[in-house]
Amino acid sequence: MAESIQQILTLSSELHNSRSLSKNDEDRHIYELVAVLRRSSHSILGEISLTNLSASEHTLPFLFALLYQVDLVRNRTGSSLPNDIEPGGWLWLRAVQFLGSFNGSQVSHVGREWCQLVQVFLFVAENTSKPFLAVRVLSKAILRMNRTQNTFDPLHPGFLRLCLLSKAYRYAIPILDRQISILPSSSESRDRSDYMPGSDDHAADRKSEATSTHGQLTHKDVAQYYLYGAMIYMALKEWDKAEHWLIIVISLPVANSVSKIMVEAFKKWVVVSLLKHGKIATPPRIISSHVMKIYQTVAKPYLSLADAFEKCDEQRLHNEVKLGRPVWRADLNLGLVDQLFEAYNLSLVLKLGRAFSALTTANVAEKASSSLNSAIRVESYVASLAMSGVLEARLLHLRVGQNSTMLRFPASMRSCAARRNGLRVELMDRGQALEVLSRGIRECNTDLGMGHESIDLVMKRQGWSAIMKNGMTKVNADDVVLGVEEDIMGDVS
Amino acid sequence: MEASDFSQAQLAAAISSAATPSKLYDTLSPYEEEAYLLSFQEDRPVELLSHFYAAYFFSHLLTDQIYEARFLTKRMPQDLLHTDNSLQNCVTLLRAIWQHKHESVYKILRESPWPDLLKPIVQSYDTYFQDKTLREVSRVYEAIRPAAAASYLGLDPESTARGDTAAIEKLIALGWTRDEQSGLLYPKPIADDSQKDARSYTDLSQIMALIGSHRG
Repeated sequence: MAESIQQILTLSSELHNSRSLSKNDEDRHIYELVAVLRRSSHSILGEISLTNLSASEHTLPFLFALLYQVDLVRNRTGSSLPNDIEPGGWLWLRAVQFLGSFNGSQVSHVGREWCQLVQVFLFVAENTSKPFLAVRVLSKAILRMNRTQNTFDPLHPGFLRLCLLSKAYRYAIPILDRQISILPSSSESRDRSDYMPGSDDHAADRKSEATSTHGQLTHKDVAQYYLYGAMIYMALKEWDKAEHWLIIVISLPVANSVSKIMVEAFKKWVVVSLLKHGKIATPPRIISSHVMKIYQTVAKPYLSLADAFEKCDEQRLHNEVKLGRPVWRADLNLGLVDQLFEAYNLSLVLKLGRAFSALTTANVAEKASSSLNSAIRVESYVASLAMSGVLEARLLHLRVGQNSTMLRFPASMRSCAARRNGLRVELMDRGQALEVLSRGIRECNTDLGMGHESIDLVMKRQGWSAIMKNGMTKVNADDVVLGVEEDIMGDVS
Repeated sequence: MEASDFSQAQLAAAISSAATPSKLYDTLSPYEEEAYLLSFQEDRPVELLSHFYAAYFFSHLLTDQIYEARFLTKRMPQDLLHTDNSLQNCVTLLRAIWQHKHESVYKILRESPWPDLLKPIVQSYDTYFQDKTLREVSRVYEAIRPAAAASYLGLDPESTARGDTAAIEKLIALGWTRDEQSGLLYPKPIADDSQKDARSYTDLSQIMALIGSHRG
C-alpha cells in the first residue's frame, strides 16, 4: 500500500486529538501509525518538513523524518559527524526540539528509533567535545520516557558518562535518585512497554523489534551505570550513596574472573570507605572469597594506604600517598585520595570527641595531625565542621584577651529536634525505596500472572474452589498441588 | 529558549525581576547552553558571557549549591575565566567560602569592583551569607568573643573588640546576651524552620500508611 504524507499527518493528528480513547484504542492507533511510517519510502519521509512540524503534535512522524534526515546527511557527506548534526547545526536543533517536547507514550512504542536518536545525540555531544549541550535535554527526555516505571535503560550509562565529562552532575541526580526496579532482559530490553494488542502480524513485528540490537542490555551496561553513578555521588561528596552504588558494582555476579569495571569500583570503594567511615567497611558477604582475593591482589596500594590511615600513622599515610601518586593518577583517583588528609583530621577529631566530653583547642593541637598544630587552626577547623553540620560540637570562648577555646562533644548535645529530623529524613528515604520496591513487586506479579484474577482463574481450572469449599484431606491436597504444578509447567511449555 | 532572548538587557531584566533566588536560578539555568555555544564563536560577546556566568554563579551561592557553583567554574570557558576580572573574583570568593574564611568572603564581596549589573546580586549574597553565618554561629558557639563574632558576621572586629556599642547592640537585638565581667557574648540559637518540619510530618505519615497497607 502506498502511503502519503497526508495520510501520515492525518493519522498523527487524529492520535494527538484523541484524548477520549481508551488505552487499548490509543495503542492500536499508535501501532497503525508506526506500521505506516516503517513502511514509508524514503521519498515520503524526505517530504516531511521538520521546520514546520510540531514535535509534540506529530511525535512519531517527526522522529522518523529526523532519523531519515540524519542518515541522509551522513550518507551524503560520508561523515559520521557532518556539520548539520553538530551542536548548533539544523538537525541538532531539531533533535533538541524533539527531545524537549515529544509525546512519551507514543515514543515508548518505537524503542528502536528512540534508541537510535539518543545514540546519535550522545555520539555527537561526546565526539564534538561539547557534552554539556546534551545533558539537560537528555535528562528531561529520559525522565519523560520513564515517567511511571523505574526501568533501567541501556542509554542510562551513556547519559551519566556525558554528565561526568561535562561536570554537569545536577542533571543526573533526578535519574540517579529514582530506584531502578526493573532490569529488562535482553530479549525484551527496550520494548517492555511496547504492548500492542492486535493480530499475529503485530506480534511478529513486536518480536522483531524486541530482538533489535539497539536496546540490548549487557552486564557491562549495568556495571558502568552504577560506577558512573557512584562517581557522580563522589563528586557531590555524598559518600553514603557513592558507597552503596560501588557495593552494587563490586557485588555483581561473575562467571570466572572479575571485570575491569569491578576492579575500578573496588579501588574507589576502599577510598570512599575511608572518607566515609575512617576505616574500610566490611565488604558485603555476597562477594565470594575468590573474587575478594582478586580484588585484594589488584588493589594492594589502596589497601596499604588504608592500613596507614586506620592505624593513624600520619607519616606513613603521607609516604603512601606520595609513593602511590602515579597509581592514583593512572586510576583517575588522585582527587579522591587527596581528600584523605581532610578525612584523617576529621577522624582524629571524632575519636577525641568520643573519648572526651570536653577539651581545649590547645589539647587537640597537641594530639592532632601536623596540619592542626596550633589552637587557632584547631578552632577554625572544628568551627567549620560544626557550622557545616559535619560534626556535633559546641565551642566556648573562655575569656576576652585569651586565645583558648573549649570544645564540647557530648553525644547528648545533639538536640532532640535535630535527631528527630535526622530520623525522619532517613525514614523518608527508606519509605521511598519501599514504595519503589512494592511497585516493582506488583508489576512482577502482574507479569507473572499472579494477580488475584489470574490466581482465581487457575484455581477454578484446577477445581480448587470446590475443594476449598468441601475441605481438603491430606491426600487430596497433595494431588491438587501436583496437578497445579504440572499444569503451570504445561502452560509455560 | 531562543537565541534572541540572550542579551545584556534580558540578563538585567532577569536579575532585577526574579522574586526569589531559586527563581533567578531557574531563569538563568536554561541560558547556560546558549552561553556555552556562544563561547566557541570567534567574535563572542565577552561582556555578556562574563556577566551571565557571574550572575549564574551567584544564583548557585544564593540557593546554597556550593558544589554546583564549583562545577560551574569548571564548565565556564576556561580562557574567559582566567582573563575576566569578575569571574576571577568569583573563583576567589568560592575559595574563601570553601575554606570558611569569613573575613575574606566579606572583603571580596564588598571591595571587589563588581560591574553595576551584578551589584544587586552581590549585595543579596552579602546579606544571605551574613544571615546564614549568624544562624550557624548561634548554633555552634555557646560563648564567643565580640571580635570573633564581628569577624564571622562581617562587622568591624577592631571596633567591636573596643566595645563599639552599635555592633554589639545589633547582636543583642537578636537575643544575644553579654556578660560584662568576662566580656563574652552568649548567642541565642535560632529556631529551625517549622514549615519544613510540618512537611516532613506529612511525608512520614504517607510512608507509615504505605507500610500499613502492606502488612496484610
